[in-house]
Amino acid sequence: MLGVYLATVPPTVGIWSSLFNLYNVFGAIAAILVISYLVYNVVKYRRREGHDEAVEERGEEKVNWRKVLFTLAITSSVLFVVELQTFNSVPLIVPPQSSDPLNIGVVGHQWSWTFVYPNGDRLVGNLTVPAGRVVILNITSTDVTHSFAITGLDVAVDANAGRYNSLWFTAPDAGSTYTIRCKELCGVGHAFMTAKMTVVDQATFNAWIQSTGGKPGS
Amino acid sequence: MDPINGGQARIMNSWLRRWLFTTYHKDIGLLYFVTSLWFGFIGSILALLIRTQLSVPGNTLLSPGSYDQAVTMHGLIMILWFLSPLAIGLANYFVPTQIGAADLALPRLNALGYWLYLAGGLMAALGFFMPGGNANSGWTSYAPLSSAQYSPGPGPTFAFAGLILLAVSITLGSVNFLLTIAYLRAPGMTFSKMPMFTWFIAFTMLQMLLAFPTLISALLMLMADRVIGTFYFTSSSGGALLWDQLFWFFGHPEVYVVLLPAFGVVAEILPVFSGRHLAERKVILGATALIVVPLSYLVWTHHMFITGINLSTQEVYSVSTLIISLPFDLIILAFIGTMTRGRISLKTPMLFAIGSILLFIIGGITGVFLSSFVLDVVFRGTYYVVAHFHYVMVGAAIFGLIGGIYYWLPKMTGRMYNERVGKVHFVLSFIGFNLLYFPMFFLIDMPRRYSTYPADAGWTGLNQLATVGAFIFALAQIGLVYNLVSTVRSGPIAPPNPWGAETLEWTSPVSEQPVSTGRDDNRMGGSGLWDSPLRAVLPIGTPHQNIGSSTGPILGMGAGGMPGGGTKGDYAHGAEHQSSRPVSLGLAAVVSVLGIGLLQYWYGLPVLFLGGAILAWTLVGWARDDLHGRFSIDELLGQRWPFHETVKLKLGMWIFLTTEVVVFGSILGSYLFIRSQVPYWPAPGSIHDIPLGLTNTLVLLTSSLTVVVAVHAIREGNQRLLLAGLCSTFILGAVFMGIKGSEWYQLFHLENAFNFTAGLPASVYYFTTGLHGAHVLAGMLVTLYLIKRTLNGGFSKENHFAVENFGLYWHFVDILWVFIFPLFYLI
Ligand code: HEM
Ligand SMILES: [Cu+2]
Ligand SMILES: [Cu+2]
Repeated sequence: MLGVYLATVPPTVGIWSSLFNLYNVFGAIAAILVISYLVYNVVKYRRREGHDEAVEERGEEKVNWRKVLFTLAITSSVLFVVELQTFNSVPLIVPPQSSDPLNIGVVGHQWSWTFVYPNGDRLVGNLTVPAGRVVILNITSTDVTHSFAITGLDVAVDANAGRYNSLWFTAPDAGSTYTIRCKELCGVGHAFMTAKMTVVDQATFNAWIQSTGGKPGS
Repeated sequence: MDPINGGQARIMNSWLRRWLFTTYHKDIGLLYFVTSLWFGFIGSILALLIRTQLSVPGNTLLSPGSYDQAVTMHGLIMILWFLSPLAIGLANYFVPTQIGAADLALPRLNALGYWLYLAGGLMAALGFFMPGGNANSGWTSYAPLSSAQYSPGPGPTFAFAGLILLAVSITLGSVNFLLTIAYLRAPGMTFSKMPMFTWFIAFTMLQMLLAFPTLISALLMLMADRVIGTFYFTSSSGGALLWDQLFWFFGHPEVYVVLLPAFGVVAEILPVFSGRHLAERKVILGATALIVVPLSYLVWTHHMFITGINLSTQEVYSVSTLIISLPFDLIILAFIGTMTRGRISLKTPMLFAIGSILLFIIGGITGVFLSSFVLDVVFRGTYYVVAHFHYVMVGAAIFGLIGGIYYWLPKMTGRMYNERVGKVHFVLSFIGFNLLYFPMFFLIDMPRRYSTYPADAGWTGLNQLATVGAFIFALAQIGLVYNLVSTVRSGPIAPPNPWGAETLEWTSPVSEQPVSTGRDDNRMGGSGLWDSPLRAVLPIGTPHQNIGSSTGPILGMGAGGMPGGGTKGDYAHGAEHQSSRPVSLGLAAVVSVLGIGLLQYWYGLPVLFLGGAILAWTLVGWARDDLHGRFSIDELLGQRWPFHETVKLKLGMWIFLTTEVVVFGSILGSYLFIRSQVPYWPAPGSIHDIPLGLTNTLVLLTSSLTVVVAVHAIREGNQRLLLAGLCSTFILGAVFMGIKGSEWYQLFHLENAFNFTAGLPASVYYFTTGLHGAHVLAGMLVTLYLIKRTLNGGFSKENHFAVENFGLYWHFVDILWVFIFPLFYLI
């Protein structure tokens, strides 16, 4: 059961969410510890009614170096662990070596996305990709800066005029659809600059790409 | 004439004069304080509009265009016209009193800072009423969305020009505060005894000093693009990335600029209300000075993880961002440790301080999440980021500063606020705040700056929670307003040191008047109250009086000045302490910016000229004030101890030149960035006349020699040689400008006119040499002033610091040219 579930999780999502989980675990522990320490101090040392207030011990001004070093050691080891895992998650950004990736161009403009297929086809607002294949998007813009993001696939990169940025993903399930959004303010149409991504099986994809006039991507 | 009305008119008149012309730090502090709260109010209205718009999916309350303006101006106003100025207000009021100085080092510059801040804010707000509306490209003003092509109209131009005024104001302020903290501490007030608030203001000012000049440069280039049609940010050869780099080089230090003053406040409140000393004071100071301040300039690229920069850059900046979180860890644990074994009294200031720490913990930890460049792929540009920085900027910074307001209100007004209202204010703010921002951590897939969203996106519930929280948070602030108003009006008289604090400001009298120290050197007494081992608790009861004497002459005015601590309404007596020039410069700024924004209409140019005329008139007036000694407080109070005055003013000039180095550093850096992106660049000699350029370089270098002659002459007391040196400098400057002008003229009339809009090489050339030329021109104006003053016999062997300072400035302008010349003519 679990195996089936894992198999249908897109690899980019797998990488991102396990990294996020790790950060959440350490982040939550750190937050709970430090906030409890704070609240504990506030409650424990609160001044009570009728308590003798006259003489106040103002405490030492000396630095407790052991405590400082201890804090630094603990924090840096936690940071080291999570950062190491971030470095191990670089495959989210760097496309895998694949014998047969599908390269698609993406052009952002106020306020829609145009997809350029290897056969030269240009489609506005609709991206169709084959299931299970490595897809590489090369993204640019013809006007202002946009940011291309596929919700649910955990991938995104900016679209700048005069420059190509790329991202990769593999969508496992034919029949699933995703929403593409723009994440960088790009003018009044920013909230409406969406596109739909449809995942089809390789055969359907080949048939579709031929019906639009070109030959299957290479 | 009716004597009563006449009397009222006089009081009114003196009231107006006081607030328009004041240069006194407490008055200016109050001006900043009140003005920033007003801007906070405007920013809050915009925030409530945003939250109302997002309360239901598909809402049409705000059009997308209005929404973008609301978001943009909310961000700009809250960060730059509310949060920082509120801190500057408190700093103006309390830094001098905390270190025993009678005022800031340069009072007129301080007043000028306030008026430029207000002028900038008014221009930014005016944008809303222009055809086409206000700036709408986000507070980050990303190019090319912020260019004239995509954000046309006077509104955005006003907003960006307003930002320049603000940035100039902040830069001037940072020079002034650093100078004050460096030189005007009372004897015995060593750095190791300096109060934490002052320390953190010093850090803040240092950050401002190096960050804001970059913003000034970036905005000047943006304005050049918008107004004269250069291509810095509109070319597809890296224009967008150039803005990103410049903006975030300013933008990241800016987040510490808003945070650090609040840490300073918290570090004052915590020990006082815990009855203990601040734990690990040295660690806190060391961590901030050695790690936070320097490293904040080396993490800016974490805002650019998904702009397409290469992987190793991302890795480096991810690690540097992590390193900068370590000192914060130490600071927070020291703050919490301060409470251990204390007797914590949960009064309103303490509640806000604790709230500030608690919320910073959440903001800081989520910041570590964002430093992971892999996680940031998804977070970037979504509500997760919005949640993070509000936890830091509102949670940590604003809660901390509100704590400071309650803490110092008894000192500022002499009256006590209502504790119960204060507590309710805190509780409601805390609940409202968390309800407002915590849900946003779960809106990881909702892009920020969305003017509306569809019902099927699944974001409705969280957005509605946030909106409810926003209204609770906003309503809670009625508590603050109530407390401010009722305390001033009718609060019970406060004891002089209600919290039993140990810092010096609690010993100064509650007074709206400039008070004197009664000492020659204008420092508050040297009795060393803070000298005892534990900085002994001050004798409660006396502090309504000044430590030194409250009856001596004012601020270095010498005998016969205004009676110190005099009654209200007497202010006209302090005329020597007032100056109409700062507010008049503010007016000149407003009118000039109006003109620039309206250049597309026929009346733009005349308005710009009017602004220029007011500017010229004011500057001449300012110079005449100086020539005739009309503004008679010593500008650098306490010049006699222990340094020679020139040393101090020279430091001021050096600090100022540091900002200039950053300004031109950013501009030349932009030039190099553009060269690295543009495939084609005209060959050396093909456009610019190298021999002519070389001649001009020699002219300018010679003028450095004549300045050296002038400075040496007056050091020996030789006024004639000084005059000769200054006159030749002026003439050489004029020759330089003349040659420059003829070069520009020829370039404009080339066959393929090489004018402002002739492409990137032309853009960069005109902008850089133009700004340099403006500096030469400014130097020439100063030379004129110096010549006049020499003729009046104003300089002598002992008194010639103006010449020395001018010398430094002129050398700087010349050295600058030595960099510019090869970059533009030879390679
Ligand atoms: C513990 C220390 C902190 C860390 C590690 C940290 C980290 C980050 C990172 C990595 C980002 C970039 C997010 C993105 O690009 O989407 C970010 C954004 C931001 N941070 Fe922090 N931060 C910290 C503290 C602060 C503080 C103290 C402030 C303010 C006082 C602040 C204000 C902001 C703001 C305004 C943004 C949003 C920038 C934007 O518009 O995209 N942060 N922070
Ligand atoms: Cu967009
Ligand atoms: Cu940053």
